[in-house]
Amino acid sequence: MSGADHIQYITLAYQAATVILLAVVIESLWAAARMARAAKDVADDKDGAAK
Amino acid sequence: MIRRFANPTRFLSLIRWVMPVASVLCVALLALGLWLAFFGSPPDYQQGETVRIMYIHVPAAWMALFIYTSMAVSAFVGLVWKHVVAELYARAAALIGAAFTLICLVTGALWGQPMWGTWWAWDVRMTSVLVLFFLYLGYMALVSAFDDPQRGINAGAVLLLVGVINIPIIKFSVDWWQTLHQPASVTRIGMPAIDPAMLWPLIIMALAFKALFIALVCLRLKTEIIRRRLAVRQQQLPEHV
Repeated sequence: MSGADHIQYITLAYQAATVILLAVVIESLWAAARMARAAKDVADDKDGAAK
Repeated sequence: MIRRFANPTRFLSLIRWVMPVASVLCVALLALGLWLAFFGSPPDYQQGETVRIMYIHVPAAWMALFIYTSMAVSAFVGLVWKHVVAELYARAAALIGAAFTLICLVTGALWGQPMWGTWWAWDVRMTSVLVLFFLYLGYMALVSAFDDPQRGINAGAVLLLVGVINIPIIKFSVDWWQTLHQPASVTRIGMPAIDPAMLWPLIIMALAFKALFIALVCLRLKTEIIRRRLAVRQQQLPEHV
């Protein structure tokens, strides 16, 4: 097996790991932002009802 | 200690400083670990350059086992002591654990093809890691399958505790059975059978993955705590109307 073939497998492995970890990071940030917005909406509703 | 952090508000104040510290550490350790993995370590005398896949494969495998074990411990604490944060921890950590297990499987296949001449073999180590991946997926599906989130969390906790039997099977499969997968070379009794030039990038990448996990699980735990509070508020709402 040539050096170029080795590099191809290494590149694929690191790319796959990057894509999987980035997907988890993005999903976590998206869920956090969505939940923070929901919490803010609830707080705004409460303030509105109090007024 | 366990009771101290059962209070979500107190736990959120801890998360507030742990998350940025873990994020900064993760970036610094990843930069150092990747530099060492690509430029600071020599090619293996048998594997050649392909050995560099090990610097993500092995730490990902360690993380997959560590996260599942920590989820099982938290499930036990949640079931026995009704610890709110412990109950939410397993839910927050499951996706990260599944991701590390998937990385382990994918990078293992990409290492296996040039080294063993096959992407996959139904070897005990590989099959038990695949079972671990399905356990993570099964747990995530189970906790989301109930209308009452608490019932989902309790059912998931039982699955986690039953599935923990797979962890020693994964760890010791290479010692108990004849497997295609090589035996442990770092986490074995006595000195690691690996040169320090290759051991250091491995350890630093493992620490980077650990820091990434801490940062991500803090973020996801915070989300879960807010979700739980909103759900409780929604349940209380009809009583006030």
